[in-house]
Amino acid sequence: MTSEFLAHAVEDIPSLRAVFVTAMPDCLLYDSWLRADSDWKVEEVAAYFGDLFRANREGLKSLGSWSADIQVTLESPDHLILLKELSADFVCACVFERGAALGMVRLHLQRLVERVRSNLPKFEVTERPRGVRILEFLNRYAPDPHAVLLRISLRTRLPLERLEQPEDLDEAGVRQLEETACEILGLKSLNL
Amino acid sequence: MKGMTPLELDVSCCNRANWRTDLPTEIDAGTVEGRLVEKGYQSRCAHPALRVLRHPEGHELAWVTTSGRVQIRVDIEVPKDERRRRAEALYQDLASCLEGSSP
Amino acid sequence: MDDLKALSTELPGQDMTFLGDTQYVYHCHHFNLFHDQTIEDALGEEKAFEVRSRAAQDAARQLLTDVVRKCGAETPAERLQLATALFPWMGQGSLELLSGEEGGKARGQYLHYSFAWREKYGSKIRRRFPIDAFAAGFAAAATEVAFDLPPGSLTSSEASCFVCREPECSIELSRQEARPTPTPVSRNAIIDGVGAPSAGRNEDSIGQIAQGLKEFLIGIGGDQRGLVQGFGIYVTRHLAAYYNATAYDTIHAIEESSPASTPVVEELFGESGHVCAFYTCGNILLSPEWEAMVGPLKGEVEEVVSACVGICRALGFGHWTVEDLVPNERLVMRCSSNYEAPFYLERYGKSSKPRCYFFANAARAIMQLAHRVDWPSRPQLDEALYQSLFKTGLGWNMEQTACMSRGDDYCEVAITAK
Repeated sequence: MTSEFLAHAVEDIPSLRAVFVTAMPDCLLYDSWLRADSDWKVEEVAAYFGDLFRANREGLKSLGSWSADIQVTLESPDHLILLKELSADFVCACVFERGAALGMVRLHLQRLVERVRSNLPKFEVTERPRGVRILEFLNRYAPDPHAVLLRISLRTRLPLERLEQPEDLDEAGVRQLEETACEILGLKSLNL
Repeated sequence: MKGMTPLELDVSCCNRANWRTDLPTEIDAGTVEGRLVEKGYQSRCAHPALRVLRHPEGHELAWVTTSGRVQIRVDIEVPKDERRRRAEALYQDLASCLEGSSP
Repeated sequence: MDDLKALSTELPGQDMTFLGDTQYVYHCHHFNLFHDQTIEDALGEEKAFEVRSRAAQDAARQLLTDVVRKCGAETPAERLQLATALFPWMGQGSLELLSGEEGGKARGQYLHYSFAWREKYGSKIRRRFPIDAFAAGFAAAATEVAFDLPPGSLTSSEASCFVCREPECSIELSRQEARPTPTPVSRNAIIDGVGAPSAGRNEDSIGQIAQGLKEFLIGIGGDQRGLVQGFGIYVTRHLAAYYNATAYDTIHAIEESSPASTPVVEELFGESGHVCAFYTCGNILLSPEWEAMVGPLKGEVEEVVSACVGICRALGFGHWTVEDLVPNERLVMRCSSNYEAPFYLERYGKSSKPRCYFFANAARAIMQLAHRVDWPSRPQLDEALYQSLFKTGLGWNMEQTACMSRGDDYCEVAITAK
């Protein structure tokens, strides 16, 4: 899929401001389309929406309510944002103008999702090393991100050089990293 | 109020706590300060080019009389989402004190 | 409060501030939180609380012992009242002391650490461990001094904390067998530990800036919550001994138990210097107060460096001077006094290596601010800007070329372009 494809796929949706396709579980931007006047940082937005969708999914699972067909709707003063799972490996976030009618928005979303889904690549997604994903999560959510690696090194006593290659951390190292991430974020566990 | 620039976000080390407007420099600072004091503000600084006035709720106005720059400091107990609204109220306070204060 | 203002003095020529015989400095909440966070990262939250509260107790005891004597507070009630008045003057919030000879309780409102933590981090992360170790140690010291108890005979803990989303901060004090306490580093010891003040580049301008700011700062009092605001930032008049004891004891613990992690803990304490320069100097430079007293900033390198050095002197960090400055190439800063080296020398003896983490890293940060920030555009001093300056683009090497903690006559740091 190319951004040209997305640009074409959204042509008949005037109230749409942006589309982000996020590859899961790593919350990496796969593709995006922005209306010309937007200056959003697409990688960041895609990552946060991926985390949001995952958190919703886990929350619903804990209620025994999960279905692959769910849709998350966010309403802010400026935007209407809808998130939907495209496949097990991709999530789509669509940002509409706030004034758009919800019914029309849902219709547009349904059509857009069908177009995009049919053009998704079929490939085997390899989950990246957990150490890498934990560090990326920390860089997104930890306070003082400029100091995160130093803080982890000090808490775990793992050398900085090892933490700079998180893909090479052994099981014990990843476990220490995860425990420390939970300490820093004040979480009981990371849902990654 | 004519000559008062629209409210905009100013430099702050606390999220959205400080806002800015600029006043005309020809207004009578003493008169305006007096009116703010009558509204309950407390004058906290006697520097020739600076007025710092504290609102009873803890917000502040820091005003450079020589340039007209005003920093509206919303107290940090105000939730972040409400700070702009509070700044706007303080802005209106200031605007109401400016009427007829130009020589 | 007029009594306390009257007790605030300076060491002539050294730009160091004292309340009675106890040195204090101005630091903002960003610095305070980062400094204490580093202790927690090094030692774990529980041990860190112990280290912090003990350091607070020792430093506050030194302060209170002196202040009660100078103010003529003789009875326990008078002494507790004085301590209760001193706490907000320091910008630490308000503390109600409900303690007696056997210990007791203290209740805190708007305690600086918990209040500041909630403001800065509360919407992003949860915290499960109390944070007001300074208030706890202060309460212990106040009770010891009020009832003439031996030093270290009270222990303190925080039973509930605003930062853990509990409704109030409550501190518990209980008697214990008096622990050994370090000898306070006295004003005289600091005087013995500083060098002869010298003049550097732009001395007149830096001196004038420092003097103007000092006059302004001393006039700022705490509000009814015990918070001190000036230049649009919240500051504390905090005890240098607290910062030093916590930092050095932590570093020594790491040097002993995990020497490989020593460079990391030193770098994190040094990072506090970046945090201070960015948030404190930055906000002061862009404040209406600055504009009124000094004028709007043009943003030239020498102007910004001189301004920051003037600010640091006014905040009680010591007599910092600019020895050499070549824009885009080099800054050499020197000081005949700072709040780190004389303390280290007196408390721990001569060091084999430089120990002025704050001074050296603040110098590097000042150089970064002078070169990489477009001051006339009045940028938002937010985390995004901080990241861009201090995570991804520090183009300066830093070397402490002299340090009084090592026995040199002054402290000096050379910042050079990479």
